[in-house]
Amino acid sequence: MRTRSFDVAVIGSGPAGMAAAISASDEGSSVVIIDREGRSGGVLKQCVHDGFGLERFHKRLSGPWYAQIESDEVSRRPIEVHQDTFASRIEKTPSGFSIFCSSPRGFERIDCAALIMATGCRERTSKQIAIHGTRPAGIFNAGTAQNMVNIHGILPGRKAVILGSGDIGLIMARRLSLEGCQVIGVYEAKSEPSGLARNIHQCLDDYHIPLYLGTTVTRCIGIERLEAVEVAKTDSSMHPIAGTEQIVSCDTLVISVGLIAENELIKPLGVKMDKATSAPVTDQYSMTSINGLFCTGNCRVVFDLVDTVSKTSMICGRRASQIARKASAGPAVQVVSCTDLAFVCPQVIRMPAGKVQLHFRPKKVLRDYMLTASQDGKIIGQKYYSVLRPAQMEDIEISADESQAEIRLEGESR
Amino acid sequence: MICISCPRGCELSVQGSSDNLIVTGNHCPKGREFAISETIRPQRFLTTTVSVAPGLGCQRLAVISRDPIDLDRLKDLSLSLKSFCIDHEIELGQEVLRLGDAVFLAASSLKKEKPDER
Repeated sequence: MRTRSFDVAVIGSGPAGMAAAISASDEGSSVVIIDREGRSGGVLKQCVHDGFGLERFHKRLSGPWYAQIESDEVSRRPIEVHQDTFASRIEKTPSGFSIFCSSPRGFERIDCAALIMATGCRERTSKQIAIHGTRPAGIFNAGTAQNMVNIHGILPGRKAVILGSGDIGLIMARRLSLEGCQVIGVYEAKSEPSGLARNIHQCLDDYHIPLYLGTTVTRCIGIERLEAVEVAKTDSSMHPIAGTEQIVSCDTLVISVGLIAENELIKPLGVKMDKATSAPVTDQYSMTSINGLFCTGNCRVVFDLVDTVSKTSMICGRRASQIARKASAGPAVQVVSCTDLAFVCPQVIRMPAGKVQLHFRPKKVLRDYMLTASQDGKIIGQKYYSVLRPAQMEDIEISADESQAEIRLEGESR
Repeated sequence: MICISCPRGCELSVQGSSDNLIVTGNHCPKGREFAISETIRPQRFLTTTVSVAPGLGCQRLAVISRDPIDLDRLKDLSLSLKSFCIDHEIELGQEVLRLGDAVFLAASSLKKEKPDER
């Protein structure tokens, strides 16, 4: 078997993988990127809408544009990019990791001292939510529909119902409208929209697409092709209410009901997982519980903004390069979240840390909220939020230097 | 209305007549700009794709309008772009086509595929 060796290997050539590879290379490491697709960019290639790069470049770039800037940066550096290469298994070795890949050149092994996973996330499918009825053609995940339209130029249908008000669902409602498909409505089981408020405005309101909150799809109807869906009102625990069913005629159902961090490749290594993010526990450099194994971008936690993904992945790449050259990881202290928050990332902080950004989402809408981080009773970070929404990731900066005690988050609505 | 200038999504309100609009709820000057343009003449950037001839590495090229376009023209423009096909190499940001006064820029580059070196 062909074997190659690098200081740092990156799996995934989306925005996270490219940013991590760039900073690891700039830090002096030999770097390889392994990417299953023929072209770098990851999901950004199909996100043709604008609004990317506002924080980083102060411009409203479209997804492919942002990806191209980054992949041009990669090609200016001595980074090897293996496209059309699929990593199928990872082993821990005494000196790091071995990645087994199938590539156009055949089966290969890539050895590395530090490994950065930048595998992104997957969409929850219709099989993972309780929709009854037949299984005709015409049922798509929003990302699949987006890939069909924007990468292959295929319209998935003529008359679409969208289930789930996550950002991809909202963006696909607009995209399908612009491509001449009739979008009947967006149905959301929760009482609050899951996507950003600005996407409700520019994707639904602009195109007069109705949003039905507290309503879900309960059944698919059709034999060969989808002919209609049954929708019903939901109660506060998102269960359909009997007697409220209605039939909505359509030939396409687009499902946008959440994202799952993709970490199947590293689970067998025994990496410590966080139930709240369904992803590995990571420190402020995106390193997991296994020394030298990093997990960055949407496989670490599902971010709202690619700008944040790039920023955190740059930090990750630099650190991976140092760890590959035997830098010590430092002692870890726990970050203890509070009950108002759905998760906090990073979950551990390596000391000494200095200034660190903690990312989080609230479980529900919180107004007039003060969040305080403390260590040994001493306040190490505090921030006021006029409103916190589950759809919007927020951060707080902490400054942790001296104490080895756990970091506690506490919040209160004032 | 919700400001779409950045992910913060400020809730804006606009009062007064068209020659003297008072905007509240914005956290930055962009919010005021947006609220006024949204009240007088709503505009958006149009992003879509056009087809690509074989041999250039992909089937579709993402494009973005150089300037914001009136909201009520977006749908017709998007459908009109369906008949375009790009058959040559393109640099990122290069002007690829014009439709009336609307100019579209390439959101990625196109390079001729190299013969397979595998």
